[in-house]
Amino acid sequence: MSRFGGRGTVLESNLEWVEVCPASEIELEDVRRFDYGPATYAIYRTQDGYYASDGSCTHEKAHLADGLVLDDIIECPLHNGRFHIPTGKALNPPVCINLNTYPVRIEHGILKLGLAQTRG
Amino acid sequence: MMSQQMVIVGGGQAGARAAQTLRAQGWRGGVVIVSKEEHLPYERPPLSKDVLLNGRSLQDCLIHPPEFYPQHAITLHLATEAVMIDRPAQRLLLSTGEGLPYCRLLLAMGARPRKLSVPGAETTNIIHLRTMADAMCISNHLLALHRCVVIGGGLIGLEVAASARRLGCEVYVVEANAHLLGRAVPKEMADRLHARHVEAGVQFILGAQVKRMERFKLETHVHLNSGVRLPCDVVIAGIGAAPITELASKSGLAVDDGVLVDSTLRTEDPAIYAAGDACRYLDPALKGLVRQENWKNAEEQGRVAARNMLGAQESYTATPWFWSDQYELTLQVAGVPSLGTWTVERRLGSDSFVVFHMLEDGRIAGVSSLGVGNAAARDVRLGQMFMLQQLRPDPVALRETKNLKSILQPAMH
Repeated sequence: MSRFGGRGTVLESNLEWVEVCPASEIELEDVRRFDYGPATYAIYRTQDGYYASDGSCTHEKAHLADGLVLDDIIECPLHNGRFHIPTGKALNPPVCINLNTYPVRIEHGILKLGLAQTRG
Repeated sequence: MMSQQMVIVGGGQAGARAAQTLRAQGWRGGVVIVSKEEHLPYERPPLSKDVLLNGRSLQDCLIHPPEFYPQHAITLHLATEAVMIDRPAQRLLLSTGEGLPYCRLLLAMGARPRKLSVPGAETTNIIHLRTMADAMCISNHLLALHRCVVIGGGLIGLEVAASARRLGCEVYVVEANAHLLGRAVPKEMADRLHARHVEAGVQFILGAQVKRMERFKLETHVHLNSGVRLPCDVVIAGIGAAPITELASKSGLAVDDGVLVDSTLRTEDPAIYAAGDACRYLDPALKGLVRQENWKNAEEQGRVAARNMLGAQESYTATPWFWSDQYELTLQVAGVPSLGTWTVERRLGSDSFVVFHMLEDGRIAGVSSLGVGNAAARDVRLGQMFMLQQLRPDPVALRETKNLKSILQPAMH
């Protein structure tokens, strides 16, 4: 099963798998920023594995990679708005718009982010 | 019959969040917001920054989108003043002549800027920054004119100074104290910010009092006690704010630098609560009356007051937390640094640092940080968690551990 959110149905075959970094570089319960083209993403590692979402908070656009991972929650550095990492769901004010999430996979130890090929 | 309506006076952060929380908690009766402003509730922090610098619009500052209110059956009375509370009848009287029955009333009127009262001030166009309309007005002046005097070297004054400087204005900041930012901001941080402003070309006149002002056709002269005269095109005052309490006091509620409430944010009248900048509450942790003026406090008190209006008995215990953005730097202060007797400094690269203000017994009284963007945000947040859990972290670890979270890990959440 792939983890998709926000963008509706995306066929696996239409994904472009973009190399992020060696999976081991991201510490447990941590998050890092990943920029690709004009877009920016947040890549997470929780107890349950790796996840990816849009990088900017849906409230005031702070980068979530500066935030704090608490179990499967990411807390925005600016106003402590919280999102559920696996689903991107906005959990408490001031955030009320969900994050888009993206599938990730690991190939030969390299973490890859799955992006729809026809973007922009 | 008792009204089934919750009425909120004030359409700022506390009021708008309270209305949302009432609905989120399942309240099915009426929810009404009465706001003096003509705009839908909006966030104030961008006013001194993005609105001035980048022309950010009201639309982009709204707390809730316009459709949120009808969708959640929240009635807005905008550009309307609440003039009196008929407490025995539980009715709020409005400037329109209308009376709104309430079962619970929330007072979230906020604060208003203190006005500079020196000779000539009344005929000079001094702009105070509090509302979107004020920000729009300042924005127009900073675009068109070039010499700007900011009176007050506090957070608002310095944020406006940074924005004005970035827009190419010549900027003077006049401050009554010998140093910037007062007691709430630790000296380490204030000094660094001061230096950054000087580097940007802001000119400071410290320990100075404004004596009088003179308005001419094309310019204003700000006269200082020292005899210095500052000719300029626009004067912006940021000399603090005072809680708006008239409605409460003329309705017989206790007021003392804010509407007085207990730790559950309830006034002496069991049907009336207060939240936000206008609220002075009994803080169980600090064992005293506290009034805060910051976004986070308004946000949290709005939520707590709403839940308590519905019957919860929650005490409000939040450590103070505020931030300020100036140039590329972000200042954050959490807790009460001035209570600390010694400090631990944690460096995050060359541009950013965090200071932990420690109590004698090794607990943390406050955390402050200054850094580029959100570089220090995570560590400040962790510091808040240490404070909340009353931890006594090892000072060496605070200073040097790469991942501060590892200190917290065993007792997490």
